[in-house]
Amino acid sequence: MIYKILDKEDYNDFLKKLVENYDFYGPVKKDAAVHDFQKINDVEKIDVDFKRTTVAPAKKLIYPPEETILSYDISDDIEIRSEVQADEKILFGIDACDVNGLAFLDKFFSDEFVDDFYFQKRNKLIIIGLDRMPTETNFSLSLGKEYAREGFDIFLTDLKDRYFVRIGTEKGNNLINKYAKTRDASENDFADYDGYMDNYRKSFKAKADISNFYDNFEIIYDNDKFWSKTAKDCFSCGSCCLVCPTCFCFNVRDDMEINLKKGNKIREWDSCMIPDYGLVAGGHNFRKDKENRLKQRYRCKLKTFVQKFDTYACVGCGRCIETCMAKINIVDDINSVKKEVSV
Amino acid sequence: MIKPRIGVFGLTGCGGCQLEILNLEDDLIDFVNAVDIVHFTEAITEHSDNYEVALIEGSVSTNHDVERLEHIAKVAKIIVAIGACSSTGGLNCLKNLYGVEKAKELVYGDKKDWIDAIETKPIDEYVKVDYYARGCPPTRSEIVDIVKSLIVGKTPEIPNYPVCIECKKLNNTCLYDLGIACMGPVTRAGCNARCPSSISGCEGCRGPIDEPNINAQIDLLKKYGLTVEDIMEGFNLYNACKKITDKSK
Amino acid sequence: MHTIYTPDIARITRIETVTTNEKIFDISFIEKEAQKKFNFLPGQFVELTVFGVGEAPFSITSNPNNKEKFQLCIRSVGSVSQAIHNLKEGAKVGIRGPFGKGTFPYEAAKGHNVLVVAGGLGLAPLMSFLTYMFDYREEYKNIMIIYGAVNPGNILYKNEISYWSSREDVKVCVTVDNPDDKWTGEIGVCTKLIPRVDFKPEDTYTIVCGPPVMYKYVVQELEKKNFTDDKIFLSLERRMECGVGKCNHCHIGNKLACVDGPVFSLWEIRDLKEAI
Repeated sequence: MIYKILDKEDYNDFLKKLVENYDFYGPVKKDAAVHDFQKINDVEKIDVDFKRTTVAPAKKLIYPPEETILSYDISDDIEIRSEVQADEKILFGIDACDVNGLAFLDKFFSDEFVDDFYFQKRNKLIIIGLDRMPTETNFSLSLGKEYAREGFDIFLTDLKDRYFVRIGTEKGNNLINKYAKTRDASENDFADYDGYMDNYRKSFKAKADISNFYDNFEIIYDNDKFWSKTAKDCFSCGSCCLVCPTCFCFNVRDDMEINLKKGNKIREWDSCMIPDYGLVAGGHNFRKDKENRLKQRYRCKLKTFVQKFDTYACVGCGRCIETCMAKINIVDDINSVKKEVSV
Repeated sequence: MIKPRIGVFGLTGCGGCQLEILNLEDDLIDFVNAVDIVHFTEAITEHSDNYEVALIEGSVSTNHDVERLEHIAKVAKIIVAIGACSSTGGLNCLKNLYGVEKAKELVYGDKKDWIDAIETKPIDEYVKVDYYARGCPPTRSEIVDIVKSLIVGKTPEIPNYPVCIECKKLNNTCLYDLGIACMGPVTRAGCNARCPSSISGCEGCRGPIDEPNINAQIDLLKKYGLTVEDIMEGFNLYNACKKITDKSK
Repeated sequence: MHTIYTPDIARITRIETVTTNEKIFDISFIEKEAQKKFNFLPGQFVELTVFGVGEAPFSITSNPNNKEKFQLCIRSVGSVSQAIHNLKEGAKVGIRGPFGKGTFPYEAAKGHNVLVVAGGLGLAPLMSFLTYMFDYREEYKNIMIIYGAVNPGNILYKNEISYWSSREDVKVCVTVDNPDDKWTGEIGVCTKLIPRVDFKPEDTYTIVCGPPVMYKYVVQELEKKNFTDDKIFLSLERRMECGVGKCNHCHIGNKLACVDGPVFSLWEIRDLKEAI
């Protein structure tokens, strides 16, 4: 890690150069309600001052909602083709837990079998993170995901009159050297950064007591009363998964042109919360109740990958809480599990 | 089924669904080449009784509709309901809320006895429907997908998840966050979130998903300031025949 | 670009109609290289694409020692299986695989008794294990096969079953739920036959494959006889859509049927409450 300081007066100039020279994505105000990561042509459009999380998580740039993974032509003999279009992009302004979200997906999509469609794009994505104060629903501190240790090229922290710059990769270092006027971070700068981080960690309002969840979950698993209460209002709409920065499930469908000669295999985001997810040929559904689906989601987020990768598959960004029409709140539910078991 | 013989029929409805087929634009030529259209009420003068697949739009609202539908069902091997009227009864079912006699009187006054109207029902109340291309109007791609699936021999993939999924994929802001009520959380997707994408609340024209959480939807609408009457109106607009609010407890 | 989702093209070389609902397909790759690389273990599965329709997982049913081709026994239930039933000999399909780390315990069971419990179509995946085992018969102790079918017409692999029945070194019990007039064998579900097994639990590997509802009852019967978790193996059917642990449709608690399975020891899935 290389530490630098970027003065406020040089910050805009740095971004401007990046916007001029790169395919640049950053947060913009989408409408009255939310912000969104969009392509930026004018540096003035960048707006990092937002109270809620962005609508779609950053994963959409490398793992889009729909993507062709195979094309075929069966008019003569069978011809198949897999291709992926990937251009270099900069993604600016994602916060620590979103960086951690991508870091999780990096691990997931390279585990045993490497997913080329993900990595061709991922390897060309330059990430410039930006610390920001936690939103109302952000509980990343509880999961140890509030700080980005890796998974970025450059990470900026706003120290009022200057930015504390952490450079994580050679690519990031080259960008800084080429486009930014920086200086080395002094003891004083580190002291201010330390102060910022302390204050940041103190600002978290949403807190989940995840201690012992790994074991407690197993005893609560069979408590039907608990789950029917928790899942009562669930619409099984899948929104929580589709806004999640770490959800990876997909569905593959074949789409043939009406001439019945050419077709594509398309993968599309899927959600374990919708009833047909657990359906197999023959009609048996392994998870037909919404209670079981919610259990599965919580297990996947908070337990499965603790076992597999020693990490949560949840970064605590709070998007699912903001999005859920039924006001299902993962923080409340983690705390309820604890309360239910410890009583 | 190599090249299925298809009949396109209209019962009581506005004819807009048949028009959607004619509006296939770039795909129209390929579509008519892929199938053998032997009957098409709105488009061709010839008509034949030799079809395997019947695409039927419109609800059953007259005794004449019943006769025609029963005849079609005898001939066709596969019946596809096209559009809201045919699938759920659609807007036509609003008539039922008044009672048939009262509705006839309101519309036709002293000429009401000239009218052969009966209680409106979706076609699956009379015949077995194999597939549904729901919506008002149905999406063109869904009609084409169903026909393509029949040709290649697979079960058409009709979404059984709510519109919310499509909104999220399209990166739409949730309309509830903009203060607009929406039936999306209980309505079957497949329209590519047509209305919410234009900042207009979903009205449920594709009917509910298999297991809609009606109680939660009622609570949700109440939270956003709607009255019980508003809510019933919302549920009934396209789905009065299906009585989906009966699923609430 | 060849990705984890790119199939190799293969040809259906032979189709055998077994019952009204099931057919056996012989498949070999067009490219010799692909055929050479295709080495599978008993219990593994492939993802089969019928172009224009879709892709679905099928267990390999043939003997792993046969390197020229492999076999799938497919029941017509879903879109892909219906579509492959409509294909003719010579037709081309896409194949990815073989997949699955969890295989039948063909090595571990050597030197021990083997009890095989199959229900319905569950016999098909077991065929790869059974045929392999008979290639090395002397390395295993006693073998008993319990097979339950809905009715006599649904019995799969009739030739193989009658061949095994004629052998001295294997005990075969076939039972049907709904017998016809000619049926003289056992009647009822296959779990009914487990009490008759006289193998020593500590010296016996049990392999189970059948419809999802079957497992719980089979396991209950085995437990009554003191068979232990680490020697009971179950092949679990889930929606293994990608085969490579990415799409996650085959999640069973913390495990994935496609990469961790599809065959698990009962011990591995004991704590996964949705497993059986």
